[in-house]
Amino acid sequence: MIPDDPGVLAEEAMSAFRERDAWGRILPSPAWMDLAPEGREALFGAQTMARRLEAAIDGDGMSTTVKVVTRRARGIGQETRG
Amino acid sequence: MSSIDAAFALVREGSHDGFTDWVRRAEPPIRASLRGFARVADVEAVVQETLLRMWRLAPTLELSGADASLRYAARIARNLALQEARRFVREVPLEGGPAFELPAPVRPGRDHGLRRLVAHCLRKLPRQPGAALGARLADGGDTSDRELAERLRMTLNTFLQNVVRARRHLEDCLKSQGVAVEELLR
Repeated sequence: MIPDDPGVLAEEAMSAFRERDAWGRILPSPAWMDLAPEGREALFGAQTMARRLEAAIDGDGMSTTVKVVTRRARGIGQETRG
Repeated sequence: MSSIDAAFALVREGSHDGFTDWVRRAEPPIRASLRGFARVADVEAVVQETLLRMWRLAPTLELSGADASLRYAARIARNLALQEARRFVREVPLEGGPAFELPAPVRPGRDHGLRRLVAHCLRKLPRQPGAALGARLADGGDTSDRELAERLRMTLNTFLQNVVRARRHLEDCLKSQGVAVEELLR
C-alpha cells in the first residue's frame, strides 16, 4: 500500500535496507519507484545528508550504507584471476 | 599511492578491514557522482551494488593512476544507473546519460565537532521519534522497516512518521547549534 504522505514514502526509500533477488542482486526500493520525480530528487539530497550524519555519529565513521555493504561482503567470495 | 588506493590494495588481498576502509572513503563520492541519475535510478541500490561488485572483482583488477579504484567504481556505478534507468523509467530519454562528475574521496573520521552536535541533538529527540530513528541507526540497513516497526510495537506507517519527525527535529536542532545543514549535502 502506498502511504498518503509523500514524506513517509520518501522516508521508506531513505533506508539503506534493500531486498535482493535470487542471484543476490540488490533491488530498487518499491517506495522509491512510487515516488514522483521531484520526490526522488529531494530524496537524493536528504539521503546524502542522512548518510553524512550517520557516519558522523558512528564511532567507526560508518554510515548505514557502509555497514550493510561491509556486512554483506563477509558472506560473498571474491573472483580470482585466471 | 593515494590513501584510497592503498586501502584498495588490501581489498585485492581479500582484507575485510581494507574493504571497510575503502568503502568509507569511496561511498560519498560515488553517491555524489550519481546526482544526475536521482530521478531515474534508485541511487542507494546502485551505490550498494557497485561497492559489492568492487569487493567481488578486486583480485581481478589491474588499475593504474591516481584514485584508480574510485574512478573504476564510478564507471560501474554509472553503467548500473543507466541499466536501472532503462529498466524502470523507459520513458526517460538518456542521450548518453546525465552529466557525471566524480568528487574526491573522503577522509573518514574528521567530523568530531559534528559528531558531538549530532549526539547532543539525538539525545533531545522526543521519545517515540527517537526510538524509531535509533532503531534504524542501530540496525544499519539489515532489517526492513516493517520488522523494525514490529519490534517497537508500531505500525509501519507510525514508525515511518516517527522517523520523519525525528529527522525534522534533528535538522532544526543542528541548525540551532550553528550547523550549516546545506553543507552536508555536498
